[in-house]
Amino acid sequence: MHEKKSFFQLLMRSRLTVVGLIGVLIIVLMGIFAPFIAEKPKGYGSEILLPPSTNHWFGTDNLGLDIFAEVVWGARTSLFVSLVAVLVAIVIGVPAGMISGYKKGVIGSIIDSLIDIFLTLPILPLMIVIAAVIGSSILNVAVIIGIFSWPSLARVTRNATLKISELQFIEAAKCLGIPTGNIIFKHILLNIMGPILVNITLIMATAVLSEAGLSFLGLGDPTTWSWGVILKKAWENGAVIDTPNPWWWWFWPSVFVTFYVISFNLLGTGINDILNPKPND
Amino acid sequence: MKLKSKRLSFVITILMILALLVTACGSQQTQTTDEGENNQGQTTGPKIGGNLVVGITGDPYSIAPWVSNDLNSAMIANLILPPLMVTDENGKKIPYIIKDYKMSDDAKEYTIVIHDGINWHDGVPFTAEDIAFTAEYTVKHKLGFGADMFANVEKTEVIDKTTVKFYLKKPQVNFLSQVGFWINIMPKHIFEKVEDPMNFNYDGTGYGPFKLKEYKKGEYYIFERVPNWPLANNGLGAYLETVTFRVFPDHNALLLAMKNGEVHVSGSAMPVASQKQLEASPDKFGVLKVMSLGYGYFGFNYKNELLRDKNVRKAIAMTIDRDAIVNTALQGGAVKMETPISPVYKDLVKSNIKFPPFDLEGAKKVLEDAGYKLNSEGIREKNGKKLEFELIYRTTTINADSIVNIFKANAEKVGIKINLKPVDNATYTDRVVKQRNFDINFIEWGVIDDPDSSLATIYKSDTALNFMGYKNEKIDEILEKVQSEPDYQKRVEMMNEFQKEFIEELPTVNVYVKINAYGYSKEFEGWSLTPGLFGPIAAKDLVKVYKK
Repeated sequence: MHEKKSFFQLLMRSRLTVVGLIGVLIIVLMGIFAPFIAEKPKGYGSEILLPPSTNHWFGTDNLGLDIFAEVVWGARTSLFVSLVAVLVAIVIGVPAGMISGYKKGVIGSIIDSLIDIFLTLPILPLMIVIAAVIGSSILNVAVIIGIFSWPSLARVTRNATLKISELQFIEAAKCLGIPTGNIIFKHILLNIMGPILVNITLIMATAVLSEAGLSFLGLGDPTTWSWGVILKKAWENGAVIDTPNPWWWWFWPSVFVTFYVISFNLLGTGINDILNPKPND
Repeated sequence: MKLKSKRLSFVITILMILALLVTACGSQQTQTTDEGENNQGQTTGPKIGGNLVVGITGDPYSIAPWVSNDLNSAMIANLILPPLMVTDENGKKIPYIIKDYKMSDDAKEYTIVIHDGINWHDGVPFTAEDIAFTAEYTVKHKLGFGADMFANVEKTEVIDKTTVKFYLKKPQVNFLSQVGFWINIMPKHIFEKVEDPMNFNYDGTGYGPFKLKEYKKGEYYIFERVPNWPLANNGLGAYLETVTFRVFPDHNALLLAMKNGEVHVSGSAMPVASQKQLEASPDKFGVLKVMSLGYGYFGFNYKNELLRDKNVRKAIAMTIDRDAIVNTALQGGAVKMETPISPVYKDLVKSNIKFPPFDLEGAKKVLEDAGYKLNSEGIREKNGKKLEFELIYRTTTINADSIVNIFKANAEKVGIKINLKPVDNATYTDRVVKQRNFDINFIEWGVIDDPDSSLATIYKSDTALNFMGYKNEKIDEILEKVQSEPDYQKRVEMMNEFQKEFIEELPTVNVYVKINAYGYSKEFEGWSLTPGLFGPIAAKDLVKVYKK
């Protein structure tokens, strides 16, 4: 109990981590309460390409839809994509990392080289190819991103597991005849949650970047609102190079992608600083 | 602390970049340039020379037009293998490579005389033999739509070097205007030895005002002028020394290249946003506009049991808000199409036979009367079958996203659920054209020409382009008959009959006719265009372009 409290206190001590935490909270709340914040944008209206005003905080797009609403619903999509990607990465990455770290031997080195191979793959081109082949639904996109995110998580898990499994209390547990499953889940997993958590926040951030990239290339799901989809529509309709420029169309989704990535990164770095209190430079 | 300050400066940098973006955008104003600088002293008139760079979006499938069916392939082929017939300013067909022709009164015999003095680029004379060969070869090897267009030929007779005579099995009034407009003539001396044209590596030998110099698929295609090509500029040939096609991934990339001066003319029709950009600098750029010969439409697949119900099609037709599609989605870059035949062809739409108008209440009533009741999800259903359809469309169609969203919004207001299915071109072709596995499709026809006699190619029950699988004996009969009626006025009347039947049946709902716009650089002059396939890049127009 005492330990947990101090962890949170430590977290609150760094101002940038607090900023990250607040940013993450804002996005999570936006995503969860999207239906209460703004009506889901659909159909079309008559107020086309209006600049930001009190009626439309972020302006409107070429169909007269409210960009604020699109951004809010985009937060929901971004969270969904990140969470699914993280889930996929955890399901594959954590067991793979733990087995390879705990078992060592042949199985360990096979998984280890698999991780290495995956880490060297050119991720974006591969994502593009796979997304083009299996088709663009938001779930597909999320799963693809997850499939390419597990190696880094597995690597982190493996290293942490290696460190822990050499400690004496694990040796003791083994001697006592505690089943391997129990050792892995009760004693090791609980002790390596920190590094995993840090890595998850980083995957959350990169997943949104990947989704925006895929959507922008037309491989996302144009029937769902996401920040990448808004950007793609703006690009397709010439909003990025138009004069006079409807800047609000591409500006807000860009800001939110940046905000999302920075928030999760700050939070991740904050957690990391607490868990590894060594100076990095 | 060191670490912290580093991170802080990172955040500040980001904020500064964002601030810069905001101010940059806020201060942007449109600047209208004063036009009309007097530089009359510099005009020198047409002369030979210059390299024109044409930007196109999307790569031609192949330089051999007989094995491909895309606009970019046809555009490139049109320079090296120009068609026998071209369009005039009203979209009517007039001779180009043909000097003269005669149709017999029963529309079964055509005598065609071509211009003398045209050679293949390898020096072999271009003769009537090549035309006769093309007719025979395309049918024998079933080469694309050419095989269908020549299918009616019973016998060809080469009378002399420049005269060929076609004897048709059945009377067909538009035989020459179809074949002449669409088919690129094949070099007999090359293809007579080719057994497998689908896999033959055609080198681009043609008879046009430009010849293919070199190309790299997906990147560029370079053509050079044929000196003294007889049909251009009184036997001088084209003015441009070389014409280079550059392939761009999308319209924005093409527009940027134009603004940077890397591209001089757009071969692909430009979206409205791009047009406005170029029109903002009238000293540098011009925009040529012409009404498209094609149109955008929604088609219904008759394989779907619910869509086979005329009431459902009618209700959907009534949910289509043409004003919103034309003004909002297409930003005014189109005109409404309320008749089954395009308003480009004025004689054929004088009868004013129109699709059901936009009327959501009316659509609800049609569905209600036909027994489709709203369920708890707000979707109508009858006998447990829900009115829920997949709408398939190509992501590459400009503004398609906006158009289908307008369609979806209105359809759902009357209780018809629409699931959008955006796909790439290959998937679209596979699902719609090959497998006919779809509910509703949205797409634009590039060109529907000779509509007084040619609509059999899309609406007759047994034709390949009838993706709907639509079958109506009365329509089949009209479309069959009209092909052999030599009297134009009678054809117009018959097509009015067709239109009356069509708006009752609604196999497709036609929505708008695009206004095709092509930007060009004022470094070049002599531009012209007619309603057709390639805008100002049509061989007949491009030969007149010269560098200022």
